[in-house]
Amino acid sequence: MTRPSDDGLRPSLGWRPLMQESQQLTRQGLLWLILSQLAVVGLFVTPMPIWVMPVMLLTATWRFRMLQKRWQLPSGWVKALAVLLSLGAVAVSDIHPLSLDAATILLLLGFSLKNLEMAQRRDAILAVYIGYFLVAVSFLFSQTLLATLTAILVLMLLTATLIGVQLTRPQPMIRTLKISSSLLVLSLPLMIVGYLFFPRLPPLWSVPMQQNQARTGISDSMSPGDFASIAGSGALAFRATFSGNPPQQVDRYWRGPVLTHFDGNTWTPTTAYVERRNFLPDRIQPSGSPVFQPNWQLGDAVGRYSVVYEPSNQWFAYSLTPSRVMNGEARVGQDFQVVATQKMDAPLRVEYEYYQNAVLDPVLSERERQATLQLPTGIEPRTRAFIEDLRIRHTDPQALILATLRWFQESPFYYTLSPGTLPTTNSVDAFLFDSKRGFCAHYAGAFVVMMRMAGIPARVVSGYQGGEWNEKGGFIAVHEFDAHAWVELWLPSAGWVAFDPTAWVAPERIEQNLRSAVADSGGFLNGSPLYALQFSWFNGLRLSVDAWQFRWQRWIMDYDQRGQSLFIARWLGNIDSTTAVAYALGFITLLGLFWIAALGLLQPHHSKDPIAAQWQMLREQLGRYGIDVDQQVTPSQLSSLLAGLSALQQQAIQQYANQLNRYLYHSDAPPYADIKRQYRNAIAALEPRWWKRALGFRHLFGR
Amino acid sequence: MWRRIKSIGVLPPRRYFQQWIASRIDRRTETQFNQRRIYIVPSKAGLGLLLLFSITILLGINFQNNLVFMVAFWLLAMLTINILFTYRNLSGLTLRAIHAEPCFAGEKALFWFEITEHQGRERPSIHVGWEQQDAVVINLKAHETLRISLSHGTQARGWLIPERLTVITRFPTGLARAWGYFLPDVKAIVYPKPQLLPDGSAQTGADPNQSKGREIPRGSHDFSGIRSYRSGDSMKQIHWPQFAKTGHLASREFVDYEQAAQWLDWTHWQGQSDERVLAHFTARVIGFHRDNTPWGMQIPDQRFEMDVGEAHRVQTLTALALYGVKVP
Repeated sequence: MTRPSDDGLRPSLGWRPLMQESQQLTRQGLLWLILSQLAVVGLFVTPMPIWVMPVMLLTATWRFRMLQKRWQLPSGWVKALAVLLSLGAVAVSDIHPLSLDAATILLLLGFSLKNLEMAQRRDAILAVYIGYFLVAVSFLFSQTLLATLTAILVLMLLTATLIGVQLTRPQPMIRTLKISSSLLVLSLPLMIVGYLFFPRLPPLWSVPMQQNQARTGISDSMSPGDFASIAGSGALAFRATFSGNPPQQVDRYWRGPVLTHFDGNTWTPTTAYVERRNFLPDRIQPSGSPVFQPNWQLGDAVGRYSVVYEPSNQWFAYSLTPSRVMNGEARVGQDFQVVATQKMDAPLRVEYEYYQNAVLDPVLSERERQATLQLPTGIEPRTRAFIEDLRIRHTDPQALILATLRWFQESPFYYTLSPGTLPTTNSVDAFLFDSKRGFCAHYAGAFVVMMRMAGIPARVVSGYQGGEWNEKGGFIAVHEFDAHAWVELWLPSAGWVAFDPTAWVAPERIEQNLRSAVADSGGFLNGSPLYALQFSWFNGLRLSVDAWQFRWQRWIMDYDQRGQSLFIARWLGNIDSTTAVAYALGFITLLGLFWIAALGLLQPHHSKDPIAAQWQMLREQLGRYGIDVDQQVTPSQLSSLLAGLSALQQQAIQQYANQLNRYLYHSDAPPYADIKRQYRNAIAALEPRWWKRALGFRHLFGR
Repeated sequence: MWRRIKSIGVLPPRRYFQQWIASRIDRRTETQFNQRRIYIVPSKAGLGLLLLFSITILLGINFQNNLVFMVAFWLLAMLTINILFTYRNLSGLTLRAIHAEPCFAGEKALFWFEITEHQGRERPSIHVGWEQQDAVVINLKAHETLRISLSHGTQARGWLIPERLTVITRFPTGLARAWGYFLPDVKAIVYPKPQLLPDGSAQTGADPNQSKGREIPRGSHDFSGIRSYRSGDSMKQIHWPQFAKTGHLASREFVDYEQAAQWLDWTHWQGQSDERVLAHFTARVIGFHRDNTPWGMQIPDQRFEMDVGEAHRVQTLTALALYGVKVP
């Protein structure tokens, strides 16, 4: 639309308002909305079922086609069908209807389907608000540094959308983004203060949370082949920091579920343990008063360490043996295994103290002895024969154990992640005497069977072994591919002692890591992102990123009720309420001043219109030449008054007047900078140069 | 750039607020919006965001999630600083009343305003208008001066003194609304609504058919003769039958007749009410002016000699508009 001209005619606008007050969504507003919606849904690609994404893409496409005027707004029954289909999909999927997952999916679907009926600015604002909320919800699923940075970008997009829908005229998208980012950046100080000082309250009510996607990871049962799939996962299991030096690689055995019962094929925990575990964590008990009192003599304390577990949706936590829980929502349960008081659906931090020269279970109860000598009757005849033979030669249990391990070492056993399939019956026989190919689970399982046959109480311990020392972050990162299984044997007066048959077969697995153990056979993390860690520059980068991730995770996690009071005590000390109010007022004042300065609101107001000021100045200058320009004269009328001036002056003034006329009254207005230049020329032409004035030639130029 | 919108929207109708505002602003030709003249409150959308903040805080408490708190407080902080952003979009703008165009009662008077940006910032999405009348939305570039016209409905003749103008912006996010008022020192003349009295033409005592008066050549009404075509003659003037007969282009010539001078005399209409006479005179003046007929007018205390032309028309209509109206 052009500017109305001032030629005295009424503009051809008509007397009725031409446009409806624009509550309609503009084209650019819609584009912003579609963009930010896709970004919001993108935050949920990992935790949510994949079918949510096409719904979003479909509705966004539909909306986009409507924007291009190719498609129509869908009719009522299409919308109803879409809603029904979405609800149906949630109902059919195995998501608990009252869980956070279900609520999130419904919110996401509603967010997507809103596209099909959005027409007003109000709808767009509502959609942006749902987007904001979904960004907050996404943090319930992931709190990594990367997730945080991504979420901040999405917040920026959503805010840009809020601006985009307010604009009555399209502007370059980069300008909108600039405004949105300056809004967010300038609000940082207030956000940080709110974050730091808002009281951390206990949950008001409990909400069931369900991790929809089963993670790969150690489960509480073990059959041959289980660990091979874990070895293919590069996901992080937990990170541990040590107050002193961390233990050596070969000593890093992270204890997990203890597996006692063997049915000939699969190892599982004892029934007693399963029952206890099932009722124990549901009631939150203070970690100071455990129901279960471990039967141990702890020996010498070595040091403290703290572990941050990634969400696993499991109860069991992994710790060095033996460890005492010093702080955190976990405690030592049956079989000295650490159990969290709640399913770990969010990162959990636990602090421990660990010991050496400890005696676990100095006395073995009869029930326990039976459980750890249990074997299905009549299985593995060849193994039994082999052990009977060995027992005749070595009567002392320790000598027998050593002899067996040495046999493992000397026989042509081969450590591999792809051992081929074993028969379901007498699998130990087939493994020990035929294939001789396997990994930790095979060796541990077979060894326990052999020891039980020899009358030594034995059990399988699953968990992780090793971990990667991150120099930059000062922590040990344990990944899923560090999963391991080893053996505990009960010896009189020594209690439970750990043995690792894998170490006798493939010492490099224990001394270095899985990668070196299977280096020649391959198969380690093929096709996973971590595969690239063969390249050293990439590995350095990965370690730095991981160090930052961990630092971030600890900052975020540690700032709970305790962290908050520590922080306040450290920075503010014990302040009384008067000082607190003074601090608050001081902060508000400083922040206000900062904001006002940052927004350029301190700029003095020019009370005069620059054009009017120019015009006034020109009139004064002309007055010096005896030309009286009346206030009513318009630029176009000026030319008739300039007769007394030199041609040069006339030309300069005329040019300025023409430009000004166009600027004020025509649609093709020149930029203000042009006016300013022409004005300077005109004034310069009227004002004698200083040297001319000094030489007294003024009259020559004047009249 | 500006365009017309349906309405500026309705502002807080609280009576005390309105009274307070009225005591704060006076009529002036120009006003600059500064901290004394800009009012700012969170909009409905802003209140909605506050609700969203509370819900997000609940989410953070229930799941003990610090990053959720981060999002919540970021939203709250943004809501706060946005107030300054919205204020900034209005701050420093100058609004000036230029002039008003007269109109007839019942039509809309057109007021011209000028809005100037001095501070070198772009000012998008500013709504200017009367609460119950015309409104426009404008987008100002840096250092731009924009002329806008706003129409205002009229009911009776006389001076139309418009009520205060409202200038509103919700930019950038729509979470707050900043607005200010401008009570322009400008008034429009509203001519009486033209309305002929039933026996109007007879009473003037002049019969157009009786005396045609002096001929005005090169008119457009009455045919006077045929001459050869000159370049510049319009197609309508060409005498086609002549062209068909002779093959030469010929043009028809027309003349207009100056109407007999007309006199509008108040004393002829003593039986009628003042307003009806004024309406009648207005209608006649419009007619005379259209026909280029000289007219004179006599109303109590004022006499206009025979004349034609725009200035005469304005003078006589203004006198009719302001008859008996006190100077405000």
